[in-house]
Amino acid sequence: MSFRPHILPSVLCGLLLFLMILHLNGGDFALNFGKIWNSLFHFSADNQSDIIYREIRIPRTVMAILAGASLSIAGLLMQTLFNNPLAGPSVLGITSGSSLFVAVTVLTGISFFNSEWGMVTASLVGAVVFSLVILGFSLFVKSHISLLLIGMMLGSFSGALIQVLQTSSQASQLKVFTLWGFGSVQHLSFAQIPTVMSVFLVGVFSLGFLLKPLNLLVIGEKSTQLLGIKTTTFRIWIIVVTSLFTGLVTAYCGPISFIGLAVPNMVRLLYKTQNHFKLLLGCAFVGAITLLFCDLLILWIEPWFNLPLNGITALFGAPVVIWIILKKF
Amino acid sequence: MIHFKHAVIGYSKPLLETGEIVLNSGMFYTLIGKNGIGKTTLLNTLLGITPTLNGSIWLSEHNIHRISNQQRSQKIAFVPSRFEGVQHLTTRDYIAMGRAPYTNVFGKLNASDWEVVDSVITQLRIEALAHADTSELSDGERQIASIAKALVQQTPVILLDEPTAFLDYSNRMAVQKLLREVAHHNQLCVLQSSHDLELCLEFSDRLLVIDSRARKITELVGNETTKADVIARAFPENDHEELKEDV
Repeated sequence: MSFRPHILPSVLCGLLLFLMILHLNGGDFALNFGKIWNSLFHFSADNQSDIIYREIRIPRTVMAILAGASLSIAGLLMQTLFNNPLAGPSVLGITSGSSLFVAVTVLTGISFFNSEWGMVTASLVGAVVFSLVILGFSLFVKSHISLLLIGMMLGSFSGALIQVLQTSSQASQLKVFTLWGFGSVQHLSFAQIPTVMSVFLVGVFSLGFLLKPLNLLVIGEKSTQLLGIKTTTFRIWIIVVTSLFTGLVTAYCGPISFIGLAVPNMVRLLYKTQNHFKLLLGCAFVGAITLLFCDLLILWIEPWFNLPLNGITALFGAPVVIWIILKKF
Repeated sequence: MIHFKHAVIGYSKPLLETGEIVLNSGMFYTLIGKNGIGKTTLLNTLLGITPTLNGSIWLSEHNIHRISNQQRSQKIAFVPSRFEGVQHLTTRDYIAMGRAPYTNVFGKLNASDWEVVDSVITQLRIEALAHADTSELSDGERQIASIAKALVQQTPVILLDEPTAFLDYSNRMAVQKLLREVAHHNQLCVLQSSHDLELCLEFSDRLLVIDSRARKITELVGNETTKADVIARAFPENDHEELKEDV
């Protein structure tokens, strides 16, 4: 690889900025900064372009960046915790946990689905519950492959429960849930940006305290413990932070697969390091770039047909996963 | 340094009793015993992972099971039988992990930490490996790197669980020589478990032989003991439990 590590951050920054502006502009290469500026700082409810930017494009770009970064960071945390390059929030069933809990709130109509916090809470709780289940299994199951299979079984299990819920729910609720399940970064509104941003920042801030155990965990849990680290405590914290990132994205975007699995592997390949400060930063950038790019593809082919985000991420992620399997197992 | 006060070692049922033994600094000890007798359990007990069933183990003036994880990591370093290597982790960064007990919550090493790391690399003459990827080292080189990591931890005690199990003859000898040199030169208390009788007799200062029937430890002087004597105590013939699995 001809990449030099020290120019990598600037290349990624540049690429992210370029895709971000392109995405803000609805995928149109004829950029118009004035309109973006006006919609933010001289907003007028009568101006159609202001409304398009403020209510549609800006939230969509913000969501794509945050979702890509969050899922990739969550994937890296899982891969380091379980010492397994194929781990990730969707493979281990954490996303399914969110889906199940969201399905329960949406389809049964029990909850306050209209309230934003209801869905976010359901999604977060689902992620935490299923993460803890996987963590519990990991104490007894030492094989990498077995743990992944258990994660997939958790996925099938919650999938079955969701189907049961679907058969007994109303058409309107069913539609809401099905659309959500396709995965999309278009559900966010301008007013929700501060909420999403603050949850994301809480997650990022807490990562600082996980750096030391993450860097040591690559040589195994026993070795880490013998270096004076309280591994039992940190396992729980890593799981909680992973659930926070996964639950946040799943609540607003639906279950998005493959990003959390593929991006950390790409980042390790690019950076050639086990320093988690660099890896986490790399995951945030590459994850954001990847999801922006996937969503740009959706924008570009929109005139012909509507592709769900989950379809695109799988198209790009599945070959990456096969490549990892061929290389490492 | 390490003082066993009639400690009973085992998980739910007792495996062996240590008796009253004192291990001193500047000495290289080898623990010898058949599979399943409790060598690994004894090491795990010293590491604070497994509690004693009775009696106690003291490290200078501290009961090993009454100090925190962090304190223990500044007193006892551990080298496993095998470190598999991690892709993209350089040998120097791996060795530097030994400083973790001394770094703050963010784990950043300061200049004096790196000084310790580099001086150990120089002492073990592995400068050439420093920037190599640990996944590309040979088993022998990885084992030396693990010993370097333990030295960087600057603990008075180093424990090793069958450090030569996966090595060829020349590497086994190199590791034994190194451990003796480290014990004498750095004035450390080094304790390994091993099945390499010839090498132990040659390089260890003391042998801690676990009697297979009495399940008690006898301390023997390395160069005053014969192989036959050790075998008679630890691996007696017509011992029908010999095939029992290691625990």
